[in-house]
Amino acid sequence: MQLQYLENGEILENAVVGPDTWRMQIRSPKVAGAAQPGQFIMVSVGHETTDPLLRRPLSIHQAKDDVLTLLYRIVGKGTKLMSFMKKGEEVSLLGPLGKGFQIKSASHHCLVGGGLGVAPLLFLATEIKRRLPTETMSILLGGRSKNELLVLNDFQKVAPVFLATDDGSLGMPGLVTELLVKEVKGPATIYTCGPAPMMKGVAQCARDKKWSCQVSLETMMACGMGACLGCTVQRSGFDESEKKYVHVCKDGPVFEAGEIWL
Amino acid sequence: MALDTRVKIGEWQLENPIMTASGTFGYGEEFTPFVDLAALGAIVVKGISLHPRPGNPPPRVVETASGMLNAIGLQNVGVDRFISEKMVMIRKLGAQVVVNILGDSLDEYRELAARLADVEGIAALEVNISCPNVKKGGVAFGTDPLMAAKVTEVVSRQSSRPVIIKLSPNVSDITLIARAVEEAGATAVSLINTLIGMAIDIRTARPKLANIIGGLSGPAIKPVALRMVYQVASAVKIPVIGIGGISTLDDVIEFMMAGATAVQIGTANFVNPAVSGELVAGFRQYLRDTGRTTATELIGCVQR
Repeated sequence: MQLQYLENGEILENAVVGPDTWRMQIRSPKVAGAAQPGQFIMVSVGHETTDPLLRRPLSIHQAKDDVLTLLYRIVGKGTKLMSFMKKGEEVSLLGPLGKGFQIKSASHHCLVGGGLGVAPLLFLATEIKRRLPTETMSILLGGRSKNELLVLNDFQKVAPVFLATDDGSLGMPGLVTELLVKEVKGPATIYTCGPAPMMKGVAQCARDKKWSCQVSLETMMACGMGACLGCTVQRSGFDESEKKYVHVCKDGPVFEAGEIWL
Repeated sequence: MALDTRVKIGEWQLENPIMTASGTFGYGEEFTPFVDLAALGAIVVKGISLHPRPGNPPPRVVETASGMLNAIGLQNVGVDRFISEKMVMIRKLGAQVVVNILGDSLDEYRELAARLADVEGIAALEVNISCPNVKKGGVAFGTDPLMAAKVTEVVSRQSSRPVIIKLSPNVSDITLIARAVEEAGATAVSLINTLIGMAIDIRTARPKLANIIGGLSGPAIKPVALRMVYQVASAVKIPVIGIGGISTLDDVIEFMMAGATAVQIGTANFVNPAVSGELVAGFRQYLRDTGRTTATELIGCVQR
């Protein structure tokens, strides 16, 4: 079994980086040291209170040396409380959890992110560049408008970045899937994270071109470690058996697109 | 003076009263990075049915105030794969293992108990007659004293091990069911299973669970569970295992004072996977700090 830790990390930074979007840096040597791109952590937001009760699953935005970085959006009470946490305070982390991205040699690596789905892609891009320094990579990011395109500078330091916005306020007007068709001509391995309709579009495009495509999913989950069986997603091709569903926390959160969508 | 943390469920002696609840602890192995399973009183593994079940469509879980609703739908690998795969792994954990079983009919309960009868490494059976998430069977056994008694009889007849009947709180008088299963030969009762609840997403005007309704667990249900444990412990002579929102040492002590011989930790495992082991250590410390020498002196000691 892979290494998992319960660790109290020290918050080094918790700051706004976009509309309702925050970045938290945590010194957590065990979790950061074991983390792989695409994995996630369960973070305690409640400070020993019972409401909110459950930890929040968040993907690992970056892990470098003993520092773990999270990128999160305020969507409810839990993430709101996270945004109140201050530098120097402790936060309980459980992780790293789940199966992340498979990084293998490819003729071209293409990362496609939408909205907050960019969160796990920075760590992935960094690791692809570190492990496969001679291979080419492009990063395609999309959002409704320019203020939804997050932490661009960090991505631009790693690889060429191409942008698309629904309202045309930055980059190509239109969808990031259109950007994929336009910018990536030759064979590529696709890694994607974002809203489900966007990922389905990306997966469809990859399938048409017979490219491999890994998708990173998110769901509600209680435990994050395969015990509650709450975070189900239906697999393609299984109707009635115990294999009908996969669990995002343990079988994923990263899947081959074909396993989820035919 | 030596500290005796042991408690007894029938002839079965547990090293301490801290157990984990079915459906919240996987098959145990998921928790080995965080808990020494051999140090727990026992673990209760995810409910097993005769045939594999895929479970309910998503979403299956939703958080509520100080609790959560779930409608997992008893997803499990079925008894054959449980015996050939899961039990092989479980035996290596060094824990006292309770196997939770569930069926749609008396025949299924009988068959399950028979299949498990000769399987090594099982300390006791817990019979789920109360899961609210399957359409047929399950819940009817838990709400009808006669049916509950019949299930108890068929399982007890197939099993030489202690038989624990897990009771539903979704009844008007839980003591009626408890007395019925006691008369039918149950070694012990465990309670409560989840309370049936619901949550609606007001933006979409749809239920938050695909199954529409689900079982409420967590600290929110603790006072209800404590009351029922107290009532049942007053009504039966067999041991009562307390379940329902137990998260802290104070909760453990409260349930034992109300009459529980042991307790099961459920939803709290999701919040802190190390909690069950921490409660074992805390329990020993509590006995020392309060000048007690045995766990049993706590059971039912609440003053009227």
